[in-house]
Amino acid sequence: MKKKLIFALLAVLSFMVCYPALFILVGSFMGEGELAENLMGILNVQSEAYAEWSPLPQKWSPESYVNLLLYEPGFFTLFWNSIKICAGVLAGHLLFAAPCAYGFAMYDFRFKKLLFTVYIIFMMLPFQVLMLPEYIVLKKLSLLNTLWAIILPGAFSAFPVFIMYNFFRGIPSSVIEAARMDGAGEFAIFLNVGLPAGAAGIAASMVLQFLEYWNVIEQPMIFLSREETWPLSLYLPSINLDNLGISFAAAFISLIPSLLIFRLGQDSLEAGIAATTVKR
Amino acid sequence: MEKKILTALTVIFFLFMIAFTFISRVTAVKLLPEVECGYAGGVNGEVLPKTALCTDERGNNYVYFLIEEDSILGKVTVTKRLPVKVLSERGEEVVLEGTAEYSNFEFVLKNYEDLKEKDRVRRKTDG
Repeated sequence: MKKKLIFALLAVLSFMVCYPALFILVGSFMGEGELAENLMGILNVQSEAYAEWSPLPQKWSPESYVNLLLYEPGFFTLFWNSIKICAGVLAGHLLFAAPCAYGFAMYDFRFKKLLFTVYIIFMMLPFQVLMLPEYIVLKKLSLLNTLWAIILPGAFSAFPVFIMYNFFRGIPSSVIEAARMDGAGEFAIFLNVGLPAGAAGIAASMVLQFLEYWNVIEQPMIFLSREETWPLSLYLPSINLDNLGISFAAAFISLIPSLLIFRLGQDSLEAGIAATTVKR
Repeated sequence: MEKKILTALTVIFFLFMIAFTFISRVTAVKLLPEVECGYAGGVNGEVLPKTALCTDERGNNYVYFLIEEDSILGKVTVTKRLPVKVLSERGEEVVLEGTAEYSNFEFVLKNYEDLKEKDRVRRKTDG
């Protein structure tokens, strides 16, 4: 009985969590007319009608997807901008964060603790604190209004270093010693021992950062004023009765990469969360 | 097995997006208002066909010329309104004051749908 109650409670909670996605999916298959009728109360300030919503469309219509996919080329420009941002940031993590985390985990050097503490502090600083210095630096480098304004600060972010550090720390020092005794150089050890052993941590960090940068909204709003450089998260900044269907379809399509990447990296992500929380 | 399916789905999704990136650029252009355009005639670019001349509800005459503008899709052609004064009419043509300075720009000579300023258009020769 207790199990059934817990199951029912969890089912209700799961439904609540999933409902926004279901709402978008159902909305994207409603015709423009049905959507306008349902949401008139919210989007038309002069209307005195209440918003209504049916769990399923009265008439299933692919109209919104057709309009989006065939007649909204701007959506694809923003989609590929998002892909470029995520790819750039993740490549940066692989190039800079992984060796940095490996260095912190494997070597002892002066001021290591202090330096790592600085990293942790930087990780905890919210974007609002870093916004102004970042803006000034990007302006000096003439990178405002380019995708680099999002990619570069992201590529050097401290968070992936923290995630990967916990994985690299788990590599037994005897393995590294054995590689050294076999004559491997430090870079070769990093490539052939460190990276494979920390692959789950790297993957976990990649998944988390992909989700973060796929949904990035504050940085583009501040650093990118030209519409052609916006990421998908800024698509349709104003939703009105004319573009309702398209906004539902766009929201659902932009959800797909996150879902796929999350599902592909879920195991690594869980291992990553465990590595950062379990006390060794 | 599940990973293989997910990887395949991811690849299919991206191929789908690549395909529609190109398809939408072609199909969206077909929705744009089609216009016939050309340069103004006459010695100083003051002569246009009568079909190019528009009149608003206050009786003001104007014509549209085309400019290239930056947009989310790169450079696009949009209309710009130019107030003019009709000096004389010659058969199917009108002699205008105000167009001479814009003789290097293409004017909308004939439009099949109502236009507004900053409307994206496609030239008839674009197909």
